[in-house]
Amino acid sequence: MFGMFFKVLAQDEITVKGVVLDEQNLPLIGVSIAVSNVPGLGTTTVTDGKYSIKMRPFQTLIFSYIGYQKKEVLVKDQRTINVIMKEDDESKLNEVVVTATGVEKRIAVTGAITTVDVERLKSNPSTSMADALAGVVPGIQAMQSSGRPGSVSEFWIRSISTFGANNSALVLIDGFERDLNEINVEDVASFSVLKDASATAIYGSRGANGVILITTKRGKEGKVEINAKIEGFYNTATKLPDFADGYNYASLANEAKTTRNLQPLYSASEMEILRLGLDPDLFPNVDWMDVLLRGGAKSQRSILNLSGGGKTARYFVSGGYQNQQGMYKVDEAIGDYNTNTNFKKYTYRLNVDMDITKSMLLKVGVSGSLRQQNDPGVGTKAIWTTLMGYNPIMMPMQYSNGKIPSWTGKDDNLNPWVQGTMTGYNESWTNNIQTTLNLEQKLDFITNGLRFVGRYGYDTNNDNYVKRFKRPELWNAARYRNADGSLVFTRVAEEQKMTQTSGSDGDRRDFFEWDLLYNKDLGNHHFGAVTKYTQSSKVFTQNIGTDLKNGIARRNQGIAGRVNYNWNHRYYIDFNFGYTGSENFHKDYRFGFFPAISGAWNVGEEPFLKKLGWVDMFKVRYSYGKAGNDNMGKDNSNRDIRFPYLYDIEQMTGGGYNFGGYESSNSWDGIRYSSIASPNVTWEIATKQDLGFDYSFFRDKINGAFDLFSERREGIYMKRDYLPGFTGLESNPSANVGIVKVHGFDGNITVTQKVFNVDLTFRGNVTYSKNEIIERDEENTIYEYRLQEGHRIDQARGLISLGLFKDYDDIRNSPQQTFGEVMPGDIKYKDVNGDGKVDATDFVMIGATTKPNLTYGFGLSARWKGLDINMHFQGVGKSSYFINGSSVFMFSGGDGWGNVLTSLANSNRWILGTNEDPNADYPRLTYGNNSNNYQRSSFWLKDGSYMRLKTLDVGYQIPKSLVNRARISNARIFFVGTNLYTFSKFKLWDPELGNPDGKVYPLSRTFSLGLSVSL
Amino acid sequence: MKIEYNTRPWHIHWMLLGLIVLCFTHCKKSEVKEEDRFDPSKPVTVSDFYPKEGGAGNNLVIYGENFGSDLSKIKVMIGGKPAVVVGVKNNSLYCLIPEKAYNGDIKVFVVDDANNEIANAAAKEVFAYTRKWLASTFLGKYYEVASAFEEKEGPFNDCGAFKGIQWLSFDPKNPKQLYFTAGTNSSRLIDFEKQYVSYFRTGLDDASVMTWKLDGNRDMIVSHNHASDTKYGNYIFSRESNFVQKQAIEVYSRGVRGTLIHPQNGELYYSRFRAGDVRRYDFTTKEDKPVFTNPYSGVAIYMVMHPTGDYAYLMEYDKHYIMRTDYDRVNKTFKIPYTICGAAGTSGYADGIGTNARLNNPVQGVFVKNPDYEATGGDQYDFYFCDKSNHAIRTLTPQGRVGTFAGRGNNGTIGYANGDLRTEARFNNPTALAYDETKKCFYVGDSGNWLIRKIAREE
Repeated sequence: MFGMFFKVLAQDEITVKGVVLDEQNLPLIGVSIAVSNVPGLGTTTVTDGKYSIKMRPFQTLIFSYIGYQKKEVLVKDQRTINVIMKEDDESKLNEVVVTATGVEKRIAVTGAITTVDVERLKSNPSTSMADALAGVVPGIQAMQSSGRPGSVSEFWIRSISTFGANNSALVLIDGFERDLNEINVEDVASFSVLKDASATAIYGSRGANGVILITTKRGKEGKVEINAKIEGFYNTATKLPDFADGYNYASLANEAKTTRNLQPLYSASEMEILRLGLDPDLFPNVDWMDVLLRGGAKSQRSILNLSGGGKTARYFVSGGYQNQQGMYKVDEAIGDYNTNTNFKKYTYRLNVDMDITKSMLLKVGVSGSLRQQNDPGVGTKAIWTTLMGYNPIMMPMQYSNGKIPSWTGKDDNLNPWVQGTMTGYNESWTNNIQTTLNLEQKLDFITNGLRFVGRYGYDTNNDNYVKRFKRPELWNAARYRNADGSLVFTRVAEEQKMTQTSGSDGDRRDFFEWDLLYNKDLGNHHFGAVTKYTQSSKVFTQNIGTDLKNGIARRNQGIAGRVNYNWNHRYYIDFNFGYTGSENFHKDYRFGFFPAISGAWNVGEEPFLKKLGWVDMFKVRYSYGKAGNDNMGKDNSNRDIRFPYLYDIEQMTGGGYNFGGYESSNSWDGIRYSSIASPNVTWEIATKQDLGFDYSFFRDKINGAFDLFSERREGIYMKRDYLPGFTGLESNPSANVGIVKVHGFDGNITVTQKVFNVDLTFRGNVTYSKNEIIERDEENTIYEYRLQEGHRIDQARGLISLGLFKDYDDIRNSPQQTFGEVMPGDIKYKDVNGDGKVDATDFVMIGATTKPNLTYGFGLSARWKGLDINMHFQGVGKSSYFINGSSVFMFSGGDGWGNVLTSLANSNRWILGTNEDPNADYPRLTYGNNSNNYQRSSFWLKDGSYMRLKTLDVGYQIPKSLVNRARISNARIFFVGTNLYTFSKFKLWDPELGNPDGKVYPLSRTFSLGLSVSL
Repeated sequence: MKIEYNTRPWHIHWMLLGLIVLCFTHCKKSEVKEEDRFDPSKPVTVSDFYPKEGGAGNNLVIYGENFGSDLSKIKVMIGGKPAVVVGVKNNSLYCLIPEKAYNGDIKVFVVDDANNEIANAAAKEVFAYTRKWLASTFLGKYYEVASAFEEKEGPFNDCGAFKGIQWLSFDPKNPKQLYFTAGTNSSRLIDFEKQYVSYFRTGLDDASVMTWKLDGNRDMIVSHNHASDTKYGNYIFSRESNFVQKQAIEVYSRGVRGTLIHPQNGELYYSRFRAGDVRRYDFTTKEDKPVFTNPYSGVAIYMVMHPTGDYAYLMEYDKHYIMRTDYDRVNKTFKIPYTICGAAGTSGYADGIGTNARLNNPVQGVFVKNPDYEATGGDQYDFYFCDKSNHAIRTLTPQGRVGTFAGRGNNGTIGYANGDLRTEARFNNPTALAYDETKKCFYVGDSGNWLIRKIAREE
């Protein structure tokens, strides 16, 4: 009986053959052919587009190919099936956008939402997508202030609009608040940036800083698809500070002394010994950068993912590994451990979709990551402080008698060689596991177009560190030798054997949401409605101390909704609201209502424009609404501010109430408010407006969007530091008092054109914003310009430099400068208030802010057959910062600490008798602090704008005829270079760092070579 | 259905992989630094040297050819004395000028492994050797471990160490004998003739300062520092009894830390700590009367008389400044004092004129004749004094300029080091200072190092 059955099966099997062609009748190689609902059965087309497959009849063959529409053919008794596949319609009209309430067509969107082409983020060598956003996504401004492996960019949506609280965007991955840095870019299916109130009102009290929505990839029905990608990177610093050598350093030090009528620091014979290198102990010439840093570091990244499935269940599985190595020179001989800084990231993800019934879909997602960071025992910050502090003649790497020199025993003063190799290492890691459950039920049986979605998420996060520190015995030799030529040593620190400290932090979050969605089309009338319930909680699980409130979960709850209507896809109106609450506030201030209304007019659909023929889409949209920000920042112990409506009471110590008499004290330590309650505190409220245009012309050859926006952020949470004393308060309460106004624009354009056989694409985008403080709690002053009100948040302030004093007559005839004695060649400042002297009241706003206010990017890609080249430039403007520190203010320590930057040493410097140029780039040198010259002033204010060739990406698709024989459907080798060239006026270190003193790990220039393969 | 695969295309993978690997393998260039060696076939030459003049311990760079680069194979003689070579490169070397290299002729030798000379060269010019002032340890043993301290009498080469040195004083009639008082510790007599250090027993529990009467015998006066208003403060030790017998000056005085005898008129002046004043005692009339009140009370006021008898300096120890009081020859007493250098109540270290200078606990000082002043006339003496907590010997010119004479070597402060007065020498709380007119040298009571140090010019 069974045999018979098998025989029947066998007999029923037929062989189907055929050719797959494209619309030009050219054969397609590598087309995946699967039999529906028969997992594992499938093949691909080979040369000439031919295929052959054994299958049972009356089943469906699915033909799929990247860039083409999927085609299904029911096999009855045909033996030859020739298929012509149509290219995917990539028209912008059909592009979809992921919004807060689900997927919508781009044409129907009325809010300001940018959908990021994930492909454009993939070439970034960093471990986080955050580093790839600037200059690629219109509406995002970013800055990377350290290049250490594992460090990531800070970014803002449109603008910083608050000075009180947290200004970073809400990031939702698969619907729940998660960390952008942990997700692997290869797992991302969609990436949307919600910028205006109509898009974020649903998030209520958490949406004011904008929202990033990310969805992860899910499996598709069909044959298993395997994608693998391996990349190798070589990182070098974009720009390392360049320091003067020992002889130049000593000459400048002597000049700094003699120009101020002091004895030179080094005698002529010492200079000669230094020049000839005759005393490697007391007059060495060490290039500390070279001692500590190698030319570059290697990194790797590899990703593997599989997806596929049948009609009832589909899966997507991925794993990724990334290893970024640091550039410190380490002692390979240690062997047991590595003291170099590095970062490793492991990620995995499993997404399974199951059709439980025809109308019920269950989606399960499990993902996790482990991010591991290594650093030398003293830490990277200490290393860079030292590198900027150690000058070439300070001390040798090691004294000739084997003793190890060091400036002091402090971590950030240690000999760089010791720091890199002899201080042990720190290890820290973050791991998390995330679970997402998603149930979608169609409720067509109640009414057509009704749908229910329920979501549940559960995440755990853990941060741990182990610091293993040690230090050798350290010495310092005195400046002069003994008469017998021996060195005089002082021990600056005794040996410390390896010690260990550890710590941890962790949190647990759960989320629950449900949506009820309804869509109805009645002829030209299209309705939609969404109701959404959300609740979430986050509880710290470790290291919560003794304060009970730290162990209480942070909960949010809300109900939100949306109603939309459009007539014939031409006139849209959309109303959104969020009614959300946060239990962090007093119960009277816990819930808030955030409405937003938006509308769009799809002008392109109007008959008069349709007649023109070249307008594919032209849409005008406007939105007005409110969103809140309940993230009030951190308290003194670096925890999120908790229950500001509660007071703290502390026991008074030392004093208290004194009942004693003369000569005897008898006090009782009473209790008092250490912080008084601020019961009326609540979230900030942003009122946002956005006027936007979406356009697409000449059959999608030109398309893009442009938005003008403005925002008024009110109720900014801040401490009342300037309450009058008669209030009698012992601590400063907080209140929602600040107001900030922002306006700006962002936009992008894409132009595609085919020239001969080359597909050319130009992309450009820009974001500009200007914020202005309208109100904040600050000290009253008679000089309006001294207020922060009316200026940007974090506006640079300083004196206005008028160049350098020409001579003593110039000093006598200028307003008196009150910071210290001045000589010709010192900086001359403007007396802004005209009171005849230059003092603290003459500090005014100069320049802009450290964080850029203008970000732009543009690029050109070309594709010719299998070869593609992509060039992307990125830049920022409206940014400026002061430079200072031991290497900018040469010899300011007055004790030998501080290295001298070559470009400052060789600059047009004011030199007594040689170059008494009042417009020189560097004032008269000083050995020791110069309280006049080292004031914050426009003299030291540097323009932080730059433009750089951010990425150059060259790829080659290996011809299918070659790879298909190896059973590979697609193989591409590629080269990516990042940060290859920077145009900037600022030359001391990388301008993007925005760093005042250079004490930071530099950004990387990366060259990578990789291979991606799809099976 | 079975598909036959050609295995060859897999090679593409390996080729690609190889390509990637290749990109990350970089060749390390091993640089072999070729050291310059002495070439026996060529002569050694000395072409020049720098600087052309200097003293012991100074740096000297010698230029020439074929020195080699092995420090152990190169010897330098300057003025017939071996010089320490610190560094050598084939065309230059760096050595230190040895002491007493008076002749200044420079010779460079190259030796072989057995230390036999195989080549040499001499400089054509001669190094101009200048004699320098140097600090040395004159008396006492330096104890690196404090608990090993030993107090004893003995010959100069074995006399232990000295705690609590306060005041040094030569016997005016017999300059071969130098005394020091040591407060609550043992005072000593340093006998240069016998080369012996013996206890000087005062019988006082806190002997503070010492001075000498002007009469024919030149008896010694030692002050007793105590905190009682009903005890005598000064005692006369008679020369007749070989300074064994003492007799009190019968005036109650508390906290005497400074005394002086006027060099022409012979009356005694002494300062009182708690009262903060200076009083005058007349040996003939036995009259005791106040002279002036010091601006501060509760100050140890050490007093040093100018050799001409024209004025005295008041070392305001606890207030870190020095005042001057001029002598009124008509009334035979001192006038109201005025600040000469330092800032009252502000300690610090700074050289400079008058009140711009900063001191930190000035103690004993001594006037030394400066021959440079002969031509200009006026005050012929520089004042040298111990700036105790600055660990230095400072100078004060008649014009009021404060300088640093010795100590704080190697940019340091406290310590124990001999050699060049400013670049090397260090003291630890120098307190007492005496000048030997005949030998033209200073003796420093280095109280924290428990030693007597010497500052002298090379002979």
